[in-house]
Amino acid sequence: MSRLLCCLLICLLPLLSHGLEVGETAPEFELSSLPNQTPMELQDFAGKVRYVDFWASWCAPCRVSFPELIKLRAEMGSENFEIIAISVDEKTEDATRFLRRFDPQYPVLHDPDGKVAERYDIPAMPTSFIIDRYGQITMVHTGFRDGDIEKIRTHINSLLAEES
Amino acid sequence: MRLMCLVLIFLGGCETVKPWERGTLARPEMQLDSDPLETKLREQVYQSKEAASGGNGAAGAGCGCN
Repeated sequence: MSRLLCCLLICLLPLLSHGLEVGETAPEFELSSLPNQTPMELQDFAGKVRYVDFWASWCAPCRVSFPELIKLRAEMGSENFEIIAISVDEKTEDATRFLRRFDPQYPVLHDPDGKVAERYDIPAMPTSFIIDRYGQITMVHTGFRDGDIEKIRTHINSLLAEES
Repeated sequence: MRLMCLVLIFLGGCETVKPWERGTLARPEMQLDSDPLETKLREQVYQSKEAASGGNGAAGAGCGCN
């Protein structure tokens, strides 16, 4: 009986992993930027409200989210807010081809092995994390549909308002 | 009992593809439908001949977002 229990526990171990939740501290990371391969860390943007966006060139909703995020960043400026986009494309060319199409004016990092995606345990593509100036996750947003940008904008504005 | 334990251990090896690992699955050569345009044309012909449509697909983009 105890053997059976041990086996069951071994089988259930993979199910124990869980995604990051609101209120947790955002894990630090260091990745190379695209296209010039400059190393960047989450810590580089400390003190700002950060929107960490996991995306990929093959993800259809990411094509919808990019123009909206570019507009959002233009509206908000970069003094107290920053978007950090993280591509999980395995091939750099796929990500750079996508970026040539949209030309975002915010940092884009590359996570080809998915190590940071794994640490954040993202449940879907795209997934974004809104992090306050103290490094706490205040919102986890999965997928991207019409009207989502309004919820994101309202949340970021509320964070910026309470912090100013 | 031993067989059951063995089966359970092997079941632990079953792994779902993580959302960020689906790039390979999203490649055109991995699609069940290699030529969507031709499929559309075939569907059009089928619909006009049979006077019936639908029931030949499922929704979902494969990125885990739906």
